[in-house]
Amino acid sequence: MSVSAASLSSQRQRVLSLYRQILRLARQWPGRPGVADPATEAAYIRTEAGTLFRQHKSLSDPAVIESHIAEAESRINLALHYNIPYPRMPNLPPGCLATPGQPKRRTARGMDDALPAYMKSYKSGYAPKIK
Amino acid sequence: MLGICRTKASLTLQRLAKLNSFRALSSLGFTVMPKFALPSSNKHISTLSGISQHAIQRCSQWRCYASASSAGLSQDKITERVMTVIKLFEKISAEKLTIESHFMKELGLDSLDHVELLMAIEDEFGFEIPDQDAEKLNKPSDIIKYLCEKMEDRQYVCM
Repeated sequence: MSVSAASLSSQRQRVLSLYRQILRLARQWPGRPGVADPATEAAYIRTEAGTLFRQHKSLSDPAVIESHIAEAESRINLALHYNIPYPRMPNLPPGCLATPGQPKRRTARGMDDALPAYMKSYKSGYAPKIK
Repeated sequence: MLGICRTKASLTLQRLAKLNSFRALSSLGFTVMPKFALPSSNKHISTLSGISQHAIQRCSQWRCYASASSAGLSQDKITERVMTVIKLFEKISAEKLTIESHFMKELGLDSLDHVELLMAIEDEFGFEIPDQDAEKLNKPSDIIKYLCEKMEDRQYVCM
């Protein structure tokens, strides 16, 4: 499948407008009064977006870029819905990946596969620094 | 019976007073919106002077904003503010920075840094730059020209 220049540049525009949207979100972040300081969370949003966008800045496969765009959009929607900018960590206790009649150990690969789409960037061992 | 007549009479008096206040205001030359001209029943007489004072205040506020745009935001001031914001951006070295230096080619910024820089300028000047305009602003001189045009389009400073 050939990579067309038009699709790459339109993806580039979408990525940049997503980045802009996230930075605008950080400007007016309400925080949770009594629980979370808006300034700290806004700083987290900016550093996290900066790190993750730059980590994947040299990708070229449009399908992979599309999956990362979907990840960014789901992170934005989750943050807006819960008012929590941190990623929603899934809970994978031992035995939850087992099929009936075939109990498996919790393997790193199994946990990686079980992570949701919006945790895609965290699969390679990157963990967000939450103060 | 007399009491009822008195209340009816006072109601018609109130309605006459409302009409009078509206005529008085229009003779003063204010274009008054319906909610100013017909306020809630008990306050209309006492607020005749209040309405005109309020309208005067609103007009003078608009006048102040209009003069602020011509007084405080000449091209030199805009240039100064833009260059200050760009110098404070830590990914740019101040030695290589001139008004005509290209962000991506000469100053070595990538497109994400460019977005962050334009956000800093939006914060400084107080209004949003839409996406299709943002991708064309590749030098400080482009930014200054764009801001001058936007300031002229607006009649007052947006906050």
